[in-house]
Amino acid sequence: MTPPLAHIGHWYHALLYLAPIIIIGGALWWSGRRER
Amino acid sequence: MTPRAARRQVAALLVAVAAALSLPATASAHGIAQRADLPVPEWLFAWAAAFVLLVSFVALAILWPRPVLEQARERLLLRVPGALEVLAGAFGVFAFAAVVYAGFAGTQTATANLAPTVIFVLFWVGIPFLTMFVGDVFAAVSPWRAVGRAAGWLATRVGRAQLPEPLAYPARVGRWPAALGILLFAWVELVYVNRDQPSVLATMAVAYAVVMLVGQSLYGVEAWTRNADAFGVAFGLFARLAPLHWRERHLYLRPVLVGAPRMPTGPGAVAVVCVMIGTTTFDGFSQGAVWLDPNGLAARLTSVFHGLGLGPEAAPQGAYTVGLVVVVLIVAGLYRLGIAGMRTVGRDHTTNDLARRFAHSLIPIALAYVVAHYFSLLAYQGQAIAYLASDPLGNGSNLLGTASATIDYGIVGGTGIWYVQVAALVAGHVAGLTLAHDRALSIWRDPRIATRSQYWMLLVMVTFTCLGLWLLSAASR
Repeated sequence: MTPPLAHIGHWYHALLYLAPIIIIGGALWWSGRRER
Repeated sequence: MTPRAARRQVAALLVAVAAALSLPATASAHGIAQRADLPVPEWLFAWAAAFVLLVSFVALAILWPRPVLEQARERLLLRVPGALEVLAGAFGVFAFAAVVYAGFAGTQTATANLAPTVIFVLFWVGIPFLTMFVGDVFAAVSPWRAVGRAAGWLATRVGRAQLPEPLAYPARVGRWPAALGILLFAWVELVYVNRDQPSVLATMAVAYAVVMLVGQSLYGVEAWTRNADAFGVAFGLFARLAPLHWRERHLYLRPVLVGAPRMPTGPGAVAVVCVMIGTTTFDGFSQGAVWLDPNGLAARLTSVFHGLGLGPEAAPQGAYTVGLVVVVLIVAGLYRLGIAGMRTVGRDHTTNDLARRFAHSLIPIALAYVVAHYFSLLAYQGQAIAYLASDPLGNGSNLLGTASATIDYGIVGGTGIWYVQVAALVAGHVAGLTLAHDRALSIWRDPRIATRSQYWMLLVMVTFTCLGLWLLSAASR
């Protein structure tokens, strides 16, 4: 079986759609923590 | 929910989204045209959309300190003559009869028969587009509502019969029948193998009309339409966003969105909007590589159903049914997560109570998903009505002289469609954030607490936006 990383060119762009969710989620978590 | 459980849920959400997004994405789509001249990569639109949502959230927190939408007033524009109601109802009944007749009597080639295009394109997609501008047109043209009202009128005026009072519609059932109806229609559209066969569609249309007429005769036309008519409920929700409001033979003008906070919040209200969003999401997802690849989810699930003894036709339908239901449940779970997060500012309200009170904030998202996923279908396949109206049975007739019309695929290009999709998703989610913020202010009063209650909802909205754009980009490769 080919390791998924060998096909990174096919799917790396999909991770880019996830990045805003992680960034905003992290920022909100951090903000909520500071407010508490 | 404890903070620890909340963190676990967020982590689970991120892992699920990451798993879905990290799989390869190639497929066909509703969008037939390709887009080659975008100034930036598609994924950058998701970043920009997320940024717009974040800025909108901050702007709402600073500039919107009091609930506004819940107290907004309507202005009477004009009285609507009763004859218009009769004409609209008669048009609906005529159109319904024409579609059913074409389904039974016409050619069984889907693209040459009036029925499939009218049902799946003009009715299911065209009416929401029209509704967001001019209000609840379906209530006026609904054939079963028109027949039910006409029958009641005839029985009392002409026959002078004393009709028995309708039964009280069971409050605990609420809008669950409508949610189930939308799910069943989506199942037919996305799963059922004979969905394009005109006679099958005509049979189902007649069966649905019979169920509606029986329900109306038992519980009354309006009570049944408000709760159990899947299409009446779905299109009625979209109408709540429109600037025009038709009520009791009067036409009112109101700011957009203000109809949404008045959405009934009884049983089934959350289910209806989650089913609407979930079914559209599955439509997009089922056209991407994660689902369609030779080793994709569809193939794996189908082989499971083969293993259970299902035949070559039933096994894929089983796989698609599971996919449809799971995606609806994921959408419901995401919404539930946003709602559960609100309780971090206080435990005065139960999760169920908050879920019902914020359900209206999902209406613009449901509409945005319809616009984004089906705009190209309406723009291209909607043109087919020009020749189908002239030759509804597909037998070579030319009733209106337009039988030789063709579909102009140059009417809008792939890039134009992409911009409409992005604009619809961003506008829909900003509208959802606005509705949720306004409701939070009316619940918690203190703007700081109200804003903090919406942190998780913002994350859910960003997730829906990025997911929607990813599905659209994956489906157009």
